[in-house]
Amino acid sequence: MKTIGKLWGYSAQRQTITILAAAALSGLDIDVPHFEFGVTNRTPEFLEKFPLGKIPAFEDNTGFALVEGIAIARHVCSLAPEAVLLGRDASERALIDQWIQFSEYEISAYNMEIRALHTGRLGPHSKEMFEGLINRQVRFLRYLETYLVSRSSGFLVGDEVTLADIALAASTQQTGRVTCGATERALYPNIFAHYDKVVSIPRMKEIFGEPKFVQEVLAYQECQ
Amino acid sequence: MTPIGKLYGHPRQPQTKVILSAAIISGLEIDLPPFEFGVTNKSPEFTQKFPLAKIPAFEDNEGFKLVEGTAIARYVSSLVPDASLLGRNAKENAQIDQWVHFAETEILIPSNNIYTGIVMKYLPGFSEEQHKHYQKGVERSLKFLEDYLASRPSGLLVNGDLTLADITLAAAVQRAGQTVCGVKEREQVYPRVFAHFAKVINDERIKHVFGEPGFVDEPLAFRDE
Repeated sequence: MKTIGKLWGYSAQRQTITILAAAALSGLDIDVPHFEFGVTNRTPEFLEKFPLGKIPAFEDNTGFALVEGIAIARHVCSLAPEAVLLGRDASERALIDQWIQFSEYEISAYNMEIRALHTGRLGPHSKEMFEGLINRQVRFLRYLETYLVSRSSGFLVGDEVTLADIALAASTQQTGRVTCGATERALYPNIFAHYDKVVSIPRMKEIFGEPKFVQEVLAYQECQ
Repeated sequence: MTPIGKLYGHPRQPQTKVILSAAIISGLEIDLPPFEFGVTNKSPEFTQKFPLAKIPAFEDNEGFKLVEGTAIARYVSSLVPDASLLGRNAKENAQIDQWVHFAETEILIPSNNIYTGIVMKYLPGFSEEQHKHYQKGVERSLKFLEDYLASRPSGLLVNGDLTLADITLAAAVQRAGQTVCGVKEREQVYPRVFAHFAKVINDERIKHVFGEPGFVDEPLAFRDE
């Protein structure tokens, strides 16, 4: 099958996973050139196409270049006949958008910030701030858990998998590595069942890789 | 004209401005019921419809509900394709998506964090290191944008007409001008970015939505209190 273009990213990155999963479920082939973070995205060739040097980055066969993970994912989905992953009408499209935004800003953003604080990347911080972020995410996780209970299909929008489910599963994978250890995951059985459901779709397991969920959450630690 | 629905939001909230602007450019009317932060979004009527109690929140006349500012803005923009807020073809659509996400993640959110941390003092433990981190991020993104806009004959992001990307960016840049960009930065370091902002907000149709810029003279300094 002819590929739709090239995607620069790395296999463990949430956004790269989302795009590759979207391509696979859309029945499209995408080239993934060898990528070494900090090397490939600093070459003149890369920076000429993508001046900010960020990934994921996409270029189609006509030289059309795109950045921002979700924009690439949505564009890839739109290339499939009937764009099934994007919903069947304006309302479904909007709900898919809503859940994609939710996954990124209300779940993933907290995972990233908490991990950044934990690794000392944002400098010394108080336990209050760290736990404040965790608690804010809890509010969203609870909301999502309740919502998923009401979904007879088990998917976020409609009866079949959409881009919203892929995006959420990629965020949930992060959540299980950062803020939800074994004890916490037991609090959100539907969120993690949703993850399992998405990853069990053919070809998804290979793209998502091993969950690598943590036993214990990342805990507050004082930085030097 | 019948309003398409109700938007619960605050007129000074960036995402609310974007949605209202999208409606106006599309020739649509949208109801903005009076909203008092901490009161309206805690009322049972509101939380029953929108359990997360966040704004903006939208409900159309059939009871279809949406949250997440960008999702609402995109939905409103999709109702009148001729208004071209989402572009005229698949590639423009994708570019608009790209710029909307960029504006939100790389400019609005970090500027907002500084705004919330310093001006509103809603972020307990907001540190100087975090302030620097967000400020540097915004600066790097503004520089990129400045260079990109140099290549744009129309001065707009995607084509020759106002799109959702331009409106979203203007709302994000407004916040940057209230936090990390003082007079010197706006006039000398990122003149094209702020020319883009002026171009968008001076559009007669949406001028009143954006209101006064509220820009700072000097970038906000971190204050330990």
